[in-house]
Amino acid sequence: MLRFWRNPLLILHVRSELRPARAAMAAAVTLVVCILITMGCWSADHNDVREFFRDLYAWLLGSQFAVLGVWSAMACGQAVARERELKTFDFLKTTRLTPAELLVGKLLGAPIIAYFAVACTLPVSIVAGLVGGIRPAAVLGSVVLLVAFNLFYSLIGLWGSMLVEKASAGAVGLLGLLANLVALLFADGPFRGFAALSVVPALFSLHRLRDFDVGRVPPTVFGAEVPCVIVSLVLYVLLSAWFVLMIVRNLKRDLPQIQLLSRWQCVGLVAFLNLLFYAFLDTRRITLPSGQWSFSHHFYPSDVAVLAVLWNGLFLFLIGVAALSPPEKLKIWWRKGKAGEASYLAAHGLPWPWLVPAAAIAYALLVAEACGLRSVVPLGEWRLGFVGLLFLAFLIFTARDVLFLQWCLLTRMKHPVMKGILFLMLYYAAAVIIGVVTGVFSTESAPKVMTLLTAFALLGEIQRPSAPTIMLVAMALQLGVCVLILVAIQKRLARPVHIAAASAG
Amino acid sequence: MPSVIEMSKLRKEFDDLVAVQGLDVSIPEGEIYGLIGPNGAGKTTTIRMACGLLEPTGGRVTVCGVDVHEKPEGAQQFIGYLSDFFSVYEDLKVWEYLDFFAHAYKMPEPEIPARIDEVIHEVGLEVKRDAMIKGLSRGMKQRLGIARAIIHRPKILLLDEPASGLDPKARLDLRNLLRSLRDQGTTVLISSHILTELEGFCTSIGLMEKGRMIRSGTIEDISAAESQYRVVRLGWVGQADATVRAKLAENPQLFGLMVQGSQAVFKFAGSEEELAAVLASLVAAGVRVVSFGEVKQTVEDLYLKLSHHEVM
Repeated sequence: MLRFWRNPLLILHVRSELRPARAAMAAAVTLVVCILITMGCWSADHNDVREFFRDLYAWLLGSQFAVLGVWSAMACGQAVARERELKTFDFLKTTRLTPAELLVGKLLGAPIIAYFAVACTLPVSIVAGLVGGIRPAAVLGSVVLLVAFNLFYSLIGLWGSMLVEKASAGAVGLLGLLANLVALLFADGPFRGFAALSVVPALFSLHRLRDFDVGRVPPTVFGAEVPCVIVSLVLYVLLSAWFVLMIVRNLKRDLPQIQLLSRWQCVGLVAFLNLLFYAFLDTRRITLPSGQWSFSHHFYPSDVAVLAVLWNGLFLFLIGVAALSPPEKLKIWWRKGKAGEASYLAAHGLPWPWLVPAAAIAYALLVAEACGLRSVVPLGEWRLGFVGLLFLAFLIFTARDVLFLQWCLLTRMKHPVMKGILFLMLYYAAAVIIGVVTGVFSTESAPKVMTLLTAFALLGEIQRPSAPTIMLVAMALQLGVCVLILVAIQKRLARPVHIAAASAG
Repeated sequence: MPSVIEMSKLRKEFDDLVAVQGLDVSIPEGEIYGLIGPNGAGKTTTIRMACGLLEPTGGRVTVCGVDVHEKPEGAQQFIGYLSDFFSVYEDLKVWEYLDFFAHAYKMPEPEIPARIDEVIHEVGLEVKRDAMIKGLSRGMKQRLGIARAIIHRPKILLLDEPASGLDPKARLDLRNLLRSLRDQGTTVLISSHILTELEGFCTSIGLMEKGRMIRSGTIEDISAAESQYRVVRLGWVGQADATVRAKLAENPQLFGLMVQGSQAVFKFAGSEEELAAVLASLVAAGVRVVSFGEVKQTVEDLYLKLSHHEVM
């Protein structure tokens, strides 16, 4: 694994995609593009030669990020699915290559022509940057950032490709690049660290572009300001590690056998994401209700708590999806359970019990954060008791949704998880519409109806002195729904199996 | 002979369907084991489980003592696998393709170039060594597939319907190639629903139907176990129909006599000694016998007998 350049899969890609004629063609196209960019920059007004080279450097760097990012995400997004379509992946799986070696080979090999093209332009951009007066550290940092950025989004593409049947669907890997834009939304909030997921703030801060808001104020990590480049690189590395874990666990498995993470890994992921949440929380933005308050820049402690609940609602759902048991394994677990050989918390049992420790850890971390800040924010301002109930409510609603998806997996639906998620979206849309329609007749009843149907309606209740009764009713109701889905799952698992009917032929 | 591959209580379920159930197979070294059965019998599922591509619902597969699903990378060094319809990397040259798989199977580096030339010679692709794969015919690609499967000198070759989609000439080439592998001592597990493909080639067979192994063993053993009688064909010259009928009718162990022209076919439930006595009595009665011998059952005969009429 360490000697990646000797990876057989990488060598295969180099041989098949970088034959001399093809490499020469790619180099020629790259040269033409460089010349066109140079001419374009030359035609613009510049005060001096250095400014021209700075412009050229900026354009080349932007092109390198765009070309490598899009190309790699697409190539890796199709890498596994295409091999499945061609029926060559089975042969790869039956070699002695480990999943980690397959990952390295695909990650570096699938977009090899893009790497080559960008490598051809690198000397030009480096020289342009240095002549243009850009600090060598910034030039070097940009290259490191380019590699890290590209590997991260390639990993997302490869991860997506592992989960789809058709190579065409692998282009969805490109959507990962949208995270770059979405992350920018955090650039001016209390969680500026998340903006570092986008490469833009890191590049701006690296080149000291003070004219732009993005990247001007460095993010904080546990209260200390850290350069955006460092945060970006660390974030890419840490998040990549989770993607690598999921890929290595599942790359050699058939699609129906995929289970993204083990139970403990799911719990670990929630803890990790919560740590990120509190690490990036800029505590200077927290204001007491009695202080000066401005929505765009400051938050009450209870707002942070609500955000923590929302954040964990999303991630409990995602780890629930990641921990869905493949139907066959679930059946084996169920049979063993009936024989008293498997516990309810077994690796291939139902995923919902594992949401409980994940939610508990998330709540414990919120309490720890509140305790850590008690010298500046009184504990009471966090409304930890009510927030605990909110965590419980979100846990129950999420467990219901995850159980529903597990039931979908046991049916003969095609793409059961995808369809199950679409059904859930339909449910939530219907809940909102029902709430709105109810509001037409009675403004008092609308929030109650919404509370019964979704956990999100509860978030607005945080300022109440005590938990409303309807909240407890909603939780009881959803627990009942969970029991019903469990019964449905049990019925599915108890269905008798049939012997394959062989046809003469 | 030690077993190269052992499947015990192998079971596979898909949704509510049991594709393979309670399969126990043990194949000794040097055997050519034909897995036969109709479409949907579970042959492909069995082979995919045997090479580690499918995880069994129950039971286990060991190859050379290594559990295929517990230590997949360890077991793969002993397994060569080829499926029915497959693709190859079209943008590579023949030698590059084999070089990739030699490295992927982690063969010792110094051995690889010589081994590539050796398998290219074995499959008869010498003239195409430096050719691009996209220019090869279907039959040549099939040969290349076999070369890939044997590049790392596997202990067992798992072939799933390897002749599918091949023209008669390519099928013949494939048979010859597999024969030569057999002669070199390679153990082969080959599945097919075209029974003539396996005729005269397999040393033992397994008959699968509805996910179950209904019979397994050498063709002779299965044939002997299933037949309470042997089918005998008799030929003579001259006008001896009446004598033949009369003589054969005398024997209580003989039945199902059919006479057509100067040939007869009958079933005989006695021993070889008693069969020799039948021949002697015919000769003594003046019948000028020109041929007399047991009709060997083909794999097809056995399969039809076991799967539809007499067993299931």
